[in-house]
Amino acid sequence: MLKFSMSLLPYTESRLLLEKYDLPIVATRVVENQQELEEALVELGFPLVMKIDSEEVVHKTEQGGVRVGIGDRQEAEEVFQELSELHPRVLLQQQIEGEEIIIGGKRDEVFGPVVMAGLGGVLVEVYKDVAFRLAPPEKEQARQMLEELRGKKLLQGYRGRRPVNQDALAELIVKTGELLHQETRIQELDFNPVIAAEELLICDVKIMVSQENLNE
Amino acid sequence: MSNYMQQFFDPQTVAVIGATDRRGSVGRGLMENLLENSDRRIIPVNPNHDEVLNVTAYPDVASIPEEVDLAVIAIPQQLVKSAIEDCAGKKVKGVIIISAGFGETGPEGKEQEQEIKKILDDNNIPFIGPNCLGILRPATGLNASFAPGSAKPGGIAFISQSGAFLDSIIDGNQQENYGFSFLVSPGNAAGLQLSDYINWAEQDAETKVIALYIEGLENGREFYETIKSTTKPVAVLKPGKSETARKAISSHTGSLAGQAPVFSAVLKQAGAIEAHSIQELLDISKALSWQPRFDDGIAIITNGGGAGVLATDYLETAKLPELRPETLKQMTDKMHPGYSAANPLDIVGDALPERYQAALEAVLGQDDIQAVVVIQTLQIMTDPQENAKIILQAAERFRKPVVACFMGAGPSTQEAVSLLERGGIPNYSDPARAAGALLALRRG
Repeated sequence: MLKFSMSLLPYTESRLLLEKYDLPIVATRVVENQQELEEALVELGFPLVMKIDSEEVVHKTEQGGVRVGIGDRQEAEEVFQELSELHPRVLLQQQIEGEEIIIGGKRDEVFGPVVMAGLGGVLVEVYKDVAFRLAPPEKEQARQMLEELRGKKLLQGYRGRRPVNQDALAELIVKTGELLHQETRIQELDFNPVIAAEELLICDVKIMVSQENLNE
Repeated sequence: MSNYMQQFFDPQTVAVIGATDRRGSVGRGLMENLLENSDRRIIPVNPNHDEVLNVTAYPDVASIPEEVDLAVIAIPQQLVKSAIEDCAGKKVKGVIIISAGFGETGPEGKEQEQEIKKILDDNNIPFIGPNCLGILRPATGLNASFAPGSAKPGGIAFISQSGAFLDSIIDGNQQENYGFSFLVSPGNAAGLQLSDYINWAEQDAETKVIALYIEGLENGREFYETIKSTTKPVAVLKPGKSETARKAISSHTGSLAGQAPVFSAVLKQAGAIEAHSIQELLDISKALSWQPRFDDGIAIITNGGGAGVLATDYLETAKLPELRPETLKQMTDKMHPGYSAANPLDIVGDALPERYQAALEAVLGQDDIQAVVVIQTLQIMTDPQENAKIILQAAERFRKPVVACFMGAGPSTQEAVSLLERGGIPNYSDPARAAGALLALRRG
């Protein structure tokens, strides 16, 4: 049943979906040429993250398609040139600091939409510290998911780090669950990382949709 | 609740299609098991025999003079359809198809399964199977299965997608005191589904706990909704952790969301309890069928330090409240000077029954302690039977869940254990098992 091919939803479409479900995304601009780059730099300031917006590359980091800590205009222009060779569309995002969280989900063959939350950002595959629920979960269940994480102390403000607003995080899990439940063409999604700065912001979005349903 | 399944639990008349005297056959096994209860009319059906095990046989269902509540079919696959047509003509109230060779063999078998399903559905006849072990209802003495013997009556509804697995439990439950309200293997579940059995167990007065062994689910959401809406406790064992088929999925979530963690999460979300072994499934089901549930707060009473420490480890996720000064004051004059006035409460190896009594009454009287595990290691002065009586009295008086861990299996312990279990206090020979049972009783 899951044999049909999947593709990655481009940023602009992903963004529309996130807005529909009131899911907050970090300040981001799509840039395809020099003029757009100039405008984006003025709007966003520094430091910046730049990455390619491809429908094919799932793990952008491994492909050299993600650059972080871009501190000034000259560096941004250089990186834009390099990334443009990989893909014509480049995303610019404000770089923010905070606890790195993953929220994800998929359409399970047996159970249908399932939402996931965990710790570790890009290290999630190493720690595998994640919890699942059928989507959409009730808010209390979303809180329970956070309780189940081995590293839950990181959410409470470990060693002087800023505590994560767990109520807002649970709300984000519920909304992600609603998105998965309603948007049946979505097969998998990853918000990774979601960074807990002053507020929780989704910093990277991968939404896999089935081709078959896209053509409907 | 409708009674569309009643005939599977207490039929007056059972026809065994494929009954035979031949040793080692399913048809004979079914007859022997069914004939164990002499109150029920058991009718063998076999065109080649005038009688089976000294009971008059009929060549087909249509020839049976009286009404038939339940027909059990154990004949070669190619003959099943015609037997089903006979059952429909006879208006039997329920059918169990033991015969295999249907949906489990491939598309052709699946098609034949659909054909017999259509006949039965069109005639409003509920059915179990095909490709199943049958059903046992110990309370009515019904054993419509080819399991190796009968099960003890009790409060555990055991629904197993593996029939062979049921056999082993029935064989093994003779030593362990597991009692069952019914046991069933749904087989290919072309007719009655997992949710039908769970819903039946929910309204069944005999059933106190629902134990499930699940290998696969067709409709996960329906399963989730069913167990979520169940008011009785549900305990589940699910094998199969490998997830090779999902390796192709490329994102992080896909590769982490192997079916096992999702299934575990679904059980949590639905408020069910997950077991990790056959023994654990039965151990916790026994506790849930006899003892009330509680929120949290456990005390450990032990006459052996080591066993108490082990139990403490196993109960790490639960609250073990401190014993209050007034609690300790109540028991202190009965205690050995070297007793450990803490939780775990070590009343020392030479503890006589009066020490157990003082400890139990004081501890159960403390309001934040909602459940107790009583550990007994066997020394020369230990009096297991007297201890058992004290535990039963205290549990009765305080109406809080109590689990026993009488270690060792000698004759004196055995007798105390059966005393405990007759009174509804489950006993486990290992602190790990006792702790597991308590954690299952805890709503968490």
